[in-house]
Amino acid sequence: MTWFIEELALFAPAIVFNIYFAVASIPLGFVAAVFLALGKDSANPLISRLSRGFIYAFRGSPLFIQFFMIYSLTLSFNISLWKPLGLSWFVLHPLFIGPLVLTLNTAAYTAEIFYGALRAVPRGEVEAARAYGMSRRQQFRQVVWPNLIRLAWPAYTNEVVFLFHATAIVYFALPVIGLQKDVMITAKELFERDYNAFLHFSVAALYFLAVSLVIFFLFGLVYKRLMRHMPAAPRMRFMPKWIR
Amino acid sequence: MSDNLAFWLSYLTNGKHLTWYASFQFTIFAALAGGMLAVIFGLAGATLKNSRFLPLRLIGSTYSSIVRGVPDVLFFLFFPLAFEQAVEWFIASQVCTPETLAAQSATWPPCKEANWFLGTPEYLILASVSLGLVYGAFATNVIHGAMRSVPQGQLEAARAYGMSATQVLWRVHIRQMWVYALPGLSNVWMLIVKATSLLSLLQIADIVLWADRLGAPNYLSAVGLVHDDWRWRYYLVLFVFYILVTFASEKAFGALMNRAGRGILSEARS
Repeated sequence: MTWFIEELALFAPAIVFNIYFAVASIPLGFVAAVFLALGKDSANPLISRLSRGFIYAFRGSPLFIQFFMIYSLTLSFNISLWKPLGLSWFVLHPLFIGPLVLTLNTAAYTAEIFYGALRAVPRGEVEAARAYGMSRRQQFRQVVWPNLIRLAWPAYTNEVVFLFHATAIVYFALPVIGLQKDVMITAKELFERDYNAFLHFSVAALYFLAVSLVIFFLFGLVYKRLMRHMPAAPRMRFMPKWIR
Repeated sequence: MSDNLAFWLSYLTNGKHLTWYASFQFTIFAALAGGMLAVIFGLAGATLKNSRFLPLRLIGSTYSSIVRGVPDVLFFLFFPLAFEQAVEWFIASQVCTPETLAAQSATWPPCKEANWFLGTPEYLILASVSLGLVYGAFATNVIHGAMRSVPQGQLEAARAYGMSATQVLWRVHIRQMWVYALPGLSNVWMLIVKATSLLSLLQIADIVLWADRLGAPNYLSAVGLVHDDWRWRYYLVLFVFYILVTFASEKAFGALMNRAGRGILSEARS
């Protein structure tokens, strides 16, 4: 039994990096997604086109390529820009680039979810708000947003779990600095040491599974709170959709 | 101007670039083979999930929920490594003698004779199988849901015509299922296409690996510095390539859905 605890302990510092990547990118991605979804719905053709293009590009290409592309792009500005500014230690650090790319990626996926929810907001309610003489801002704040977030929450939960799973490839694309290793790199290095694929990869999978369950639990609590006005709050299923 | 053009033409057709273009075949093969296997595993998983026999049902649902509960990269890396080890373990139980076992100093393989060397084709097949296994779990759910969306009346009508259970399944149920499954399968296909970018993690010299090699600062003693760090340009090309593939797939699936939905009145098409 002790060997199993020891194995778990080996992964404990590593999972912190995965959690860091997820926690650092989710709030920013959420805010960006709201603006992107509104942008996609905007009447202004320029804003609408730009948001559509961004969402399509980042949903239509692999995250792995996005990592390489943005990292090499920032790297190419190193001599002309970051070095003179004395910023290269910060801008080129995986702990900065990782959340940056993940934010762009999750913003696109989340924006698509929010856009779908935005289209599903009952028209009657918006019209009623207009009839009450609410300003555009009030309409959004009082009517559209509460509807939108309730409609989108189950799918958004799913997206957050996927984003957490996506943190597994961060260090396959970015340089590993010293002991800063995430779960996948730890599993791979342990495997290369004693060739015990079944043990190390299963433990890594267990960690991912455990954190996913925690995410489902926490987001389920939020969903319950969002739905507290309903007579019987619809229960959040453990596995809602799973397709990103 | 013509000098410039000639340079670019010869630069883009040099040996390394031709190898890069050729390496697209790995990506395309992995996507197509992975996609086909995913549908096969999906059909198998959905059949298991629909089974009347409880253990089979449990196997079906455990397969679909466990594989989807962990990151795809993890399973993508794990399966080929585990398969290789399993084969080596089997070979070792056949060919290793106590002397060779004692002579082996490394942890794995048990003896030198049991080492199974994997080249690019083998890894490519293993990668396709693991793509199929991972996304087959997604397809299982899609197909399972689609099987249940086929209107009961259609099946009852088929039975009323005196079709046997097998005939109902193959001639009516599975044929009508595609209309409901295609939107979900199109999503799974997009996921598979995006996952093919991970092939380089299995030592396959695919488009990503070559983009990295070609973009790295290139110095030739005869010419001097050909170009400095151009990696972002190559990755940009791949970025655009994948977006175009997504676009083409969307169009293809749209046409496929129209074709599969011929003669079927259904809200699934709208």
